Parts: sequence; structure tokens; C-alpha cells
Amino acid sequence: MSSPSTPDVSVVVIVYNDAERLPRAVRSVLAQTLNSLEVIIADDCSTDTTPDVARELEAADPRVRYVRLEHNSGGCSAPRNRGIEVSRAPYVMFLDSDDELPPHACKSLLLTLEKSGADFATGDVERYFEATGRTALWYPDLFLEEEVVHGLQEKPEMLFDHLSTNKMYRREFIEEHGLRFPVGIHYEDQLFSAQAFSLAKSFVVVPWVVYRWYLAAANEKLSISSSRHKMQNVVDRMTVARLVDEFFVQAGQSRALKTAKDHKFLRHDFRLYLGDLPHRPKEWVAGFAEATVPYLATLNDEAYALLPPDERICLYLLRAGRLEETVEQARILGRPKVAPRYVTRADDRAYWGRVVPETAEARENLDVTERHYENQVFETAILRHEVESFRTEGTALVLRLRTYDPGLLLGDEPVEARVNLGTTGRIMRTPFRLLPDGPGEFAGEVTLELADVPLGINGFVGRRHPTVTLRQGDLTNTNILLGQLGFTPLARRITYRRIERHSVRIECEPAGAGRFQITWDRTGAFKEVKRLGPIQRRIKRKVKAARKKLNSHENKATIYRALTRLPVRKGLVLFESVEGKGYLDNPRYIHEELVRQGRPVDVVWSYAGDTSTFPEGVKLVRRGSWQYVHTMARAQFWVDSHNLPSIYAKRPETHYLQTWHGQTMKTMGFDVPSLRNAADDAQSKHQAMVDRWDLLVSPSEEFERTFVPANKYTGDLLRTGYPRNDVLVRWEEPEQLERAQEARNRLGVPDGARVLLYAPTFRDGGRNTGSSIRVDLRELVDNLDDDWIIVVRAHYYDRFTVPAELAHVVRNGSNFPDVNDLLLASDALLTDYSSLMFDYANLRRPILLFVDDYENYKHGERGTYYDLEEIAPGPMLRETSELVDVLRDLDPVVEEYAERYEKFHTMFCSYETGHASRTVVDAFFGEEQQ
Amino acid sequence: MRTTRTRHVFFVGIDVDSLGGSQRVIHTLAQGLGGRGHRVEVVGIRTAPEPFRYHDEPTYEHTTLYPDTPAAAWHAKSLTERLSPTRNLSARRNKAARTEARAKLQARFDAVPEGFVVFGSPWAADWVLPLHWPQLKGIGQYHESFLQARTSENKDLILRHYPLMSKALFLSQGDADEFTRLRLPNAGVMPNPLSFYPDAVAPAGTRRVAAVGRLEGIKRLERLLWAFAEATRDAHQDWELHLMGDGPQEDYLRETAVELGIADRVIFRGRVSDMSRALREVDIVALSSEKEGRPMALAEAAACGVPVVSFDLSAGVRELVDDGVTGVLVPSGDMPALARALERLIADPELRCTYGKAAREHVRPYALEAVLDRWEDLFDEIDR
Repeated sequence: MSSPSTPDVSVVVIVYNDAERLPRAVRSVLAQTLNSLEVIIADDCSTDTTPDVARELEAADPRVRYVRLEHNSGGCSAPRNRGIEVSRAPYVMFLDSDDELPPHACKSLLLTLEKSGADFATGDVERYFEATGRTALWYPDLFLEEEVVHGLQEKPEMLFDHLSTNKMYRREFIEEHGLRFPVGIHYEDQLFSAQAFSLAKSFVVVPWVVYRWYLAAANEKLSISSSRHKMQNVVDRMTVARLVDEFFVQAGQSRALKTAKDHKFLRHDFRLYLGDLPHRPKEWVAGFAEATVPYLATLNDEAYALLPPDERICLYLLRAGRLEETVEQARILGRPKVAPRYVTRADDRAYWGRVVPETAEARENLDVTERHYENQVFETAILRHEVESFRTEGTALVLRLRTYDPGLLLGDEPVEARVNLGTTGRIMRTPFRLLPDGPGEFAGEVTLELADVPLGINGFVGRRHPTVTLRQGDLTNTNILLGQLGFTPLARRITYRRIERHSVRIECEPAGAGRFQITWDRTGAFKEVKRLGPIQRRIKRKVKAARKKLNSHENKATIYRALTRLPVRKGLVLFESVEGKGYLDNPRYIHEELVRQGRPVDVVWSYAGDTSTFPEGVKLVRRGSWQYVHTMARAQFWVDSHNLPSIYAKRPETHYLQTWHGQTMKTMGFDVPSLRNAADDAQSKHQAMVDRWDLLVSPSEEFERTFVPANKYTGDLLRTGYPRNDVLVRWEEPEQLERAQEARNRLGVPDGARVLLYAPTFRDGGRNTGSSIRVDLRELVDNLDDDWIIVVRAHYYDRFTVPAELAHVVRNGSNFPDVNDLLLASDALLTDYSSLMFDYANLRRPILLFVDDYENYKHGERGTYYDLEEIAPGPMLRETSELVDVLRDLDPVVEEYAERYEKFHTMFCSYETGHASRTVVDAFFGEEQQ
Repeated sequence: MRTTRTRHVFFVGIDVDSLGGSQRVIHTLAQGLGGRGHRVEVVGIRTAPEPFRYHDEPTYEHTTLYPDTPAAAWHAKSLTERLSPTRNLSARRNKAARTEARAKLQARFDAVPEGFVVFGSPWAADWVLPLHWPQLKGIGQYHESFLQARTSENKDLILRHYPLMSKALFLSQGDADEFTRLRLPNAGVMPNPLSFYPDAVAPAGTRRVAAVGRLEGIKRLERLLWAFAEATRDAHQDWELHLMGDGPQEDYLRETAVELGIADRVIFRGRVSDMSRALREVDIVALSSEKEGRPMALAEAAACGVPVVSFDLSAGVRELVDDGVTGVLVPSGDMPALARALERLIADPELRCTYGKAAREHVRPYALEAVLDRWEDLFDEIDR
């Protein structure tokens, strides 16, 4: 430990003409949980009141020292170097006057360095966007856990972490290598950090935030690092990259590290300029190419190979001098769902552009076969919509659109389309038609009435980007709409609702892809309405709180109890599936049977959120609404598959049919440890819920061995099998075959292809993270023959989107409300621990299990009724390669598991007859309805 | 001899006076730090239904903020009840009681110029954070495993409140690492102290297996009964199983013992007051719980030189039991493996002796004096 007079850490705060924000930065250091530190304010010879402010800070706390450069250096290096020289502590950090250190930054990094003995420690950066008040982590994937890295070669991707400020350095390390910031160049951080990473014997990475980076609103004064429109700025970036190259040569770094550095340069630094190209004048682009192409030629080929395909093509076009096309391609960087305008085909290969490239080199670089533009289904079709021209007619905006369809998926018929435009509320949808206009191109005209765009109660301030949706039957395809590059923005004044005056600007978004953009601002007297904002917000909050109180569970339970004094309404049935998820599961099939039999009942369905799955004409109540309370209280029958909310005690006159939503691997009811070990009142609450059931549907003896006692259910059982499984047992009937074909059409399954349905269950603690999809889909797609289509259906607690590069083989089945459509349409099921396998066995089609995390699952907190290896009706696979092998030659596997499959079927499907719906309806409504 | 500044330390918990593991830790620490001359104050936010007196001659002050056990949250059963003035009045009274309790703690804080506030749980922090105490440094503790935090509100409370503390303390490195992964910047480790560490111990040779803890569902003692019956079915029928603790499952466990035919060899000892002595009279300690964070019973057994057989339940358990060195860990829920491990230790007195000696050494860092040193180091670290 250092002597008492020496602080533990020195923080060098550099400043230039920033008197306003300097105190915030310095205060963030003085408020650190580490007291033993010093602040060096290193002033690059400011000309504003910075010196006064700095001296005040110095006077107020003995830990602050102010040093001032004699001449302005114009950069960050000289002040930081001065700071290093005058500072005394054994550890050093850097801070810019417009940023902050979070409270634990110094202490936490200091402890880490003392513990590890490493040369420096680096942590994550939180970026704070002043315009919106939002925050985002900077390259969070680099900082996932606390780790000591022994040399850059162990983790070369750390080169992306090229800031100097989110780090604490051991002074000995700085001095040993004479590390200083290079004076006279910009992006000095990059060289300094590359040197530090390269020279360190070891460094520590920590996952927490150690630096808060303020990003000023775009229209404010631009700092050095965001002056990308200046050619000098490009040159500066390359200069520093060259210096890093030279340093790597001197230091004798490996080719692999050079590749890592080149990749970072292309992916981070150069990518910024590429993305800006659509918004630069032609001459600028030419100058840019001239300035950068020689340097690009010095980068390792391997670094290019690591880039996403769209970016690689863009760089190739730039280097080949095809500048117009470079700009065209630059608009889709980072947007894999947007297509290039043209793709040509020759010899089974697809190439970017209008003509087949002439040279072998060009063919290699422009090959886009792997993007499978032509192998998409309608929903994932990769298209490009551009505004070709537009004019205004009064307050209407007439757009002439051109749609590019390089995969030739839209055919040669007119396509129904619409433009979507909304501000804060309802979205205005304007339909139009796209007419074929040459191969792979469509053109159309649409008139947007700007005066009809619904605005919020206070009008609207902000910008919006209309999108385009194409429609084929009930399938849709939505994509962004690109604006017309390089035209002058157009402004109109529009008055909404007679008094709300707005100025509306129409332009091409001046960044990124350059979407068509419409910006609203309030004008005239109406502008003042925003002053009412705070008052209005306060009223809104109060109203919301009052409403919440009024609609509380307690009030609903009380009113419910009062309503149950009224007589039941004969024949009123409340249906609910899986907490109101939609028209599906056992209740759906019971309802259909009621309709088929024409029974005189009055059916009301409960829904939570989405109502799109319900057939027209079905009466609906929102789950939890007052209407729902009323229906619950008055209904003669409840039919449900999950458990109706516990606050509704059942009156004796109401009959409750519980169908439950499946058999399970996982423990249920009181077998679930968290319930078994819960407090008495939680247990009795559960018991009270179960005691409401009058009748429970049972699919198998096994169910009666597990689920029934686990819930201490002692009422009557209907040993009929599940109503929802009728269609599976009777899958060979024409109605079902037709339903299967419809689903296959909807999924875009080519004739003759086989469908593997991949339906894993969710993972505890991984809701909505996509963590349940554990098969490496890319590996699967790369190694499978063409005749399989993979349909992924994520559990409703999880989510899934088809990766754009796999959409030619992988489909998303998550949007099918009733999973039976998918089961019927599939040729085999791949799952893990999902209860779906118990239903699927009724189809007697192959079941495969992908269980790479079986140990975790088995020993998880919840506990299971079965050891999967004992009941598995198919192979338990742990690697994607095993799955590939099985799918390539499925028949022997089916044969091998035939006996086990049969046992599984007997165990879990013993009561299924294919006529459960009828039997259930007869039993439940038959006698009781009278 | 260490020399250190005299500190003012508050230990704040929701309930610090019930009989329980985490409460014992608070009082042991308070007594230890008080004994070292620090000014310590234990603050219970609520009164315990059955208060337990941990020290006859406490070296620390002791306050409870609420004067009596507050009424349970109330929901109206009917419209008339909802509108009942007495009910609404009592709801208002509860609110007033909280304001008063907070004011009481604020006054205690105001009386101290500098020092530390140690929160027993994120809930305690949640209750105290609205107060004003800039002159004090906060330390947040969490006494359960990360897994337990993840499946409850505790995780979010910790991530919300503990970054505001000088330090967030977890019982094991594994748990601290998990929170670090969630980008908590100030996670550290502080083991709970053993309330005893006998000077010398010798193998008991009493042929007793013991389980220590309340007889409640989560301890899953029926699994241990089964494993014990298995392990002593063919031989070693002179061995006994001692259950040290009481609780709601006693009748159920007695029945189970009868069913397994070992009723005569299962001894229900009830609540044991002198754990140090009780442990020195057994040969093996076994643990068959559903889940545990960092069970003190295992550390106490080790302190008494008793080898342990346990399910591998958490990073905390792995930290206290070095599998194959100080005891045996078997996969969670694997009852046959538990039975086999028991049988092996029962059959091999030499192995018990080797494990027992190693176990004692293994938990030496958790002896009270060592842990108190760590607390004083932590205070110094926070002061840096």
C-alpha cells in the first residue's frame, strides 16, 4: 500500500473550453466510493471561463489540481500526457470533461487490479443520448464476465474496445513502455489502446459500467469524433490505423492479430463512412474512394471474409471503382431484409447486379447465392421499395414507388399493397397496387392524405418513416420505404382539427438507409400547447392511479361476490384457453362440437390481448374486465384449460369443466417444490382453485397417477382423451389432410419436401430471450439435404425470428394460433421436454429429442416426473451434427425406436379415441344443462 | 494484535429477533464486533412473533422500530366491509405506524457522525432507503443463493438498491460472480461466521448420523430417512439417526420412520440449544434439502471435525464441503447415491477421521475471529 500522502488513483480530466460541463465531470470523481484519489484537471489552454471554474474546483477540494498547457494543442493527447506526468498515484484513469465516472468505477477497478496484478483493467461504457435520455451499453458482448486475459491473442476481439477512458492503468506499466498519447493526430485513443492491449502481459475485463459517455443531441456542436463529413476526418482515421499497423510490425505481432485489427477497422471505423455514403455528394464519394482504396488494399483478405455479405460486396464495389453501385449497396448495410436492386443468375449461381460479372474475381466477390433471394416464402421475401418521385396535391402526397424483387418471388401479376403511416395513435393504412414493370420490378402510385394522419391529443412533434406492406391472401410482407436520395426537402403547413397548425416536412432521412421521412412540428399559437405538458402529465398520472385503484383485484372480487347473488343465466358458457391466449386448445374443440351439435348455449370467450384467432361472430370478453367479472358471476358453465383467476370463488350453481392443457414432464401442483414448500395460505389458495373443478378431462392412466394426486383433485374424471387430440388421432380423414395442406401452403413448403417441426419448451430464467432454440440452425441448414423444411415454433414464453440468411429453409411457426395445424402439417417432431410430444404420439410420426441441456433440466428446481431416457419415444440428441445424421437417414432410427414409441403411446395416449370432443360435450352439457 | 479504528455499525433487518440462521449471524457478528470495542446497534424493523434472546450480556444496542406486530395486509371481503370506517381507519393507522418507525430510525442515524449500515436483505434496504443518511456507508447483504434470488423479487431489488451501497455482499464467490455478470459493480464475498470453533475435537465414535435444522418440507428429511434406512439395512443396524430441530413435519417424519422400519433408530432430539456440544457427539452430518444457499449446519459440523454427506445444491454447499476431502457430495435428488455415500462413511471410521480433520481446517477461515477480521478489513476498504 502506498504512503498516506500518495493517493491510490489519479484521474486525469482533460478539458477545452467546457466550463459548463467540467464541474459535473470533476464532481463525479470526487463522489467516487474511493476517497483516496486525486483529480488532475488538464486544460488545453481554454479561452473561456474554464480556468476560473477549474480553480474554484481546486480550491474547494484538496484532491483537485489544475494544470494548464501553455499553448492549445487542439487534441486530447497533449493534456492527457501532461496529466500522466504530473499525477502521482500508482494507478491512472482518464476522463473527458463532458463525461462522468459512475460511483464505483475507481474503487472497483482498483480492487481488481490489486487482486490480479494485471497491467490494466477495462470495463463497459454506458452511452447516454442527451436528445432522448436513453442509454445503451457499448459493445456489451465484449464485457460479459470478470476475467483476467493473459495477452491479447487470448481475446483479440478486445481491439474493438478502442477507447482509452474506460480503463485503469498501472503506472508502472505506462512507464515501463513509455506509453503516451500521440500528439498531432486525432483518434489518439485507438493507438494508445492498441498499444496497451498489445503490450500487456495480462489485463482484466469487467462486465460492469465504468464510464458514462454523454452523446450530445445531433444539432448541437459536433465534437471531433463526429465530423465524418470532412475528408480530413477519414484521413485521420486511416492515419491512426496505419500507426497501429506499424506498431504491430515493430512489436512482431502475429498475422492473426493483424487480421483482428483489420476486421475491427472495417467493421467499426470504415463502416461508419460507408453508411454515410448515400448522403454525400458524388464528388465527395469519388474523393473518398481515392483517399481510402490504397489503404484498403493493405488489409488482410481474412478480415474481409469475416464481414457480413452485404458489407463485403459494398467494399468490393468501392475498390472496383463502381461508385454509384457502392452508394446503392451502402443503403442496405445492416438491413439484411432489404434487397439489392438486381440479382442475376448464371450456372446455378446468383450474382449481385444487373449483369453477370465478367472476371472470376468479380464473380467471387459478388456471389450472393447463399443469400437465397429466390428461395424465400412470401413472408420473408427480401424486397426493396424506393420512392422514385413524388409530388404534392394540396395536403396530399402522391408517391410513385418502385419495388425491386430480385428473388422473382412476386410473379408477374399485380400485387396488393399498402403504405402504413402513423404518429402516436392509430396507423393510417393507404392501399394501392403494384404493377409489374419489367422482370423483378414493380411500380405503383399511392396518395397519402397527410391531413388524415391521426395525431395525438396535443398534435405531434417528431419524425416518422412510412413502411410498405404487401399482401397475398392472409400473408403479409412488410419492409421499409427508401426515400429518393439528394432531393431538397419539402415543407407544407397543415391544420389538423381546424386549429392545430403543424409544419410538415417531407424528405429523405439524412442518415443510414435514407428512408422516406416525414417530420411534424407544431406552429403558430398551437405551439404553446406543449407548455401544458407537465400539468397534463400530472392529471394523467392521477387519473391512472385512480383508475388502478377502482379496477383493483380486491374491488373486482367484491363486486363479483355481489353479482353471484343474482341468478345464473341458463346456458351461458364462459370459455377460456390458457389464460385467454386465443381460440385454441381443448376448449376450442369443445366449442366446435357444441356448434356442430347445435346445442342452445350462449358462448362467451375470454381473451387477453389478441383477438385475431377467434372466428367471426364469437362473443368476446377481455380477461379481467368488468364485463368478464359479470360473465364469470352469471355463467352456468365454465370451460377452461389453465385455471381461472383465483379471486373468483365458484358459486354452487356454476359447473366448471377443467380440461387442462397437457400432460407434462415437469412436476405439477403440490409436487412443484415452490408450492409444496410454500406458506400455508399459498397452499390453501391453490387447493381452493382446484376444488372449484367439477369435472376434469383425463388423457391417460398416467395422468391420473401424476397430475390428479399432485393437485389433490378428488372430483369426477372424464376418461376420454383430449378433445384437441381428436384431429390428430383422425389425421387420415380428408378434413384433416386438407388442413395439413393449408398449413403447408401457408408455410410455403414446396411439394415433396418434408417438414420438421422444432418446438422446444421455454427455459426458466430465459423468457423472451430466444434461449430455448438450442439447435444450431445454421449448421443444420448447411448440412441437410434440400428436402427438409424446418418450422420453428417457440414456446409462447419465448420468441423466435427467422435469421434472414436461413429463411430459405427455416420457417417461423410461432404465428399459428393452434399448434394442431403445425402438428398435422409436419412429418416429424423435434422437441426437448415439451408436453407436445405426448400429443404428437397420436399421429404416430417420428419424435426426436434435442436435449443438450438435459442435466440442467433434470436437476433444475422444478423436478420432473420421468427420466427422459426411460420414456423417450425417439433418440435423445445433444449435438446438431447428431441431428443431421438422424435426419439424413430417418427410417432406421424410426425402426430402432418402434417398440419404445409403442410403450410411450400406451403410457400417455391410452384413452384417446378420436371422439373425445363429443363424449366430453355429452357428459358435461348433456345432463347438467337441463 | 490488530489495531483498528472504533466503528459505528448498524445492522438492519426486517426481523432480527426470531430464531433462525440469518438472525443468529447478525447477533453473532454484533456481539463479536462489540467485543472488539466497536459501537454496534442491531435494528429490527418489525417485532418478531416469538423473539429469541441470543446473548445474555450483549455488547451492542438493540432497537425494534415497530412497537408491535403490524396487522396483515387486508382485503375487503364484501362491499360493506370495503366501506367500513373502522377498517379504513386501521389502514390509515398502519400507514402512520410506518412513518413513526421510519422517524425512529432516522433519529438513530442522525445521532451518528459516521459509520456503516449493514442491511440483512434487500427488503431491509428497500425500507430504509427513503431515509436520509449521507454520512453513513451502506453495505447490502444477501443470505441466499443466486438461484433463490433469481426466482424471487430479490434479484431485481438487489440490482436496483445495492449499486447505491458501498458494497454488496454475498455468501460465496459463485453467487457474487453471478451478480457481477449482471453488471453489479460492487459485489464481494463475506462468509457467515461460525458461532463456535471448538479448540480441540476427537471422533465421537457414537455411531450417530445427524441432521440439523427445522423439520419442515423444504429440508426434505424423508429423503434422508430413506437413505439412512437403505445404508443400514444389511449391516450397521446399531447406527442411529438424530434429527436436531423441531417443526411442522415431525409427525409426518415419525410416520415415515415407522413405515421404513427404523422408528427405533431415529431419535427426534427437538430444538438443540448447545449445538457445539451436540455436534461433537455425532459421527456424520447429512443434508438432504430441496435447496440451500450456504447452510451453516455444514460449516458447524466441519468446525467440530464431523464429515458431511450432502446433496450438491449450490455454490455455497460446494464451498463448505470439498467433495472427497472433507465429505461427500452427491447429485441433487439422487437418493441411491446419498445412501451409498452414507454407507461408505458409516463403514469406514478411518475415512471419517481423515475427512473430519480436513473439514476442520477447511472451515477455519469461517471461525468468528477470522470473519471479524474480514469485516474490519472491509470497513478499511470502504474507507480508502
